[in-house]
Amino acid sequence: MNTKYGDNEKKVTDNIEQLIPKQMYYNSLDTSVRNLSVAVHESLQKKQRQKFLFRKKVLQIIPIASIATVALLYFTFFYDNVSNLEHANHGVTQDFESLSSQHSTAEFNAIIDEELKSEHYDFIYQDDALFLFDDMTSSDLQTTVEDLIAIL
Amino acid sequence: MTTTVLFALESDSDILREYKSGDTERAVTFFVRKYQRFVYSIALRYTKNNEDAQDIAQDVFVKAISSLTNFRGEASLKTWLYRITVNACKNEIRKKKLLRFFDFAREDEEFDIISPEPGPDQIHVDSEFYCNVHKALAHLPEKQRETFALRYFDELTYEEISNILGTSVGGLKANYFQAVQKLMVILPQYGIGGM
Repeated sequence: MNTKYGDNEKKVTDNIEQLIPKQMYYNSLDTSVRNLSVAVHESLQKKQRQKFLFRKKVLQIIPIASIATVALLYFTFFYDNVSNLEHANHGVTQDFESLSSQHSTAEFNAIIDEELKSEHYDFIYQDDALFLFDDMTSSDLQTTVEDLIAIL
Repeated sequence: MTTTVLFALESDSDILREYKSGDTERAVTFFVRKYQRFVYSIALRYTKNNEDAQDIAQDVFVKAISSLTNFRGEASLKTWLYRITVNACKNEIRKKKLLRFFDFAREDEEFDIISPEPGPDQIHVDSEFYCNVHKALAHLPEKQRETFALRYFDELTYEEISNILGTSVGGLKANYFQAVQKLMVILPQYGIGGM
């Protein structure tokens, strides 16, 4: 009997020991856990392998993700603005063409000069006007062209 | 003679030192062998199912080993493992209850502790005995059952059990005696002794 028990406890434990022999209980437990050590080792190895594969995947993904992010940013901010501006410029050119078809070149230039002067852009000439438009947003351009159409 | 002494990792500090020094495989083997009975029997008492208990025991060891380097040693490994195991069991029981609520799992709470694939050395008598002991233990309230199992089967001191269960030593002694008294009556009903 285990000496760790006190006298009173020893008595009751002796009784229970007769009913449940510890060794018999341990033997039956050992049968159930005999492969546990192997299973734990396998689980740990599997976990380690998964961790390694995950890290490898992350390392593979990082360059691709970086390129994709840069591309996405480019298309979201830069490409979008460029295409908008191109679209706006194209619209403005069409409007100018329609204006110039209704009036002679001299009349057209005169109207433009006058308009630009009134907007204090008197140092800008017709050819330079497009540079001014390049710095303007598409809505500004649209307003300017609409104003011009209204004047004409 | 000396080789036995050299290769055995008896104490927790030996296991921890070995693990932290880098020889993890050997430390893990000794760690699992030392505590497998303890962890499995707790899991079995809570889940009442052999397969669940084996799965939980495996998970508990994997979890414990993964954080073994962070083990601060404030409590003993046994106390630490007990807490991890009980938490894992309670989570599993909660999950099972939820599944049962949605009728995905079976309703019965019968013990299923005989291995589904019994090996050649698995004696039927042992399994039956073992099954009956656990059925009898299931009749006890949780505190009495745990106190009895930790004291009688795992041979923990009352102080250690007190740290684990958070009950006073006096209370634990009372629980132990009550558990023994009840088992003396219950065990014969399962064909253990007395008949």
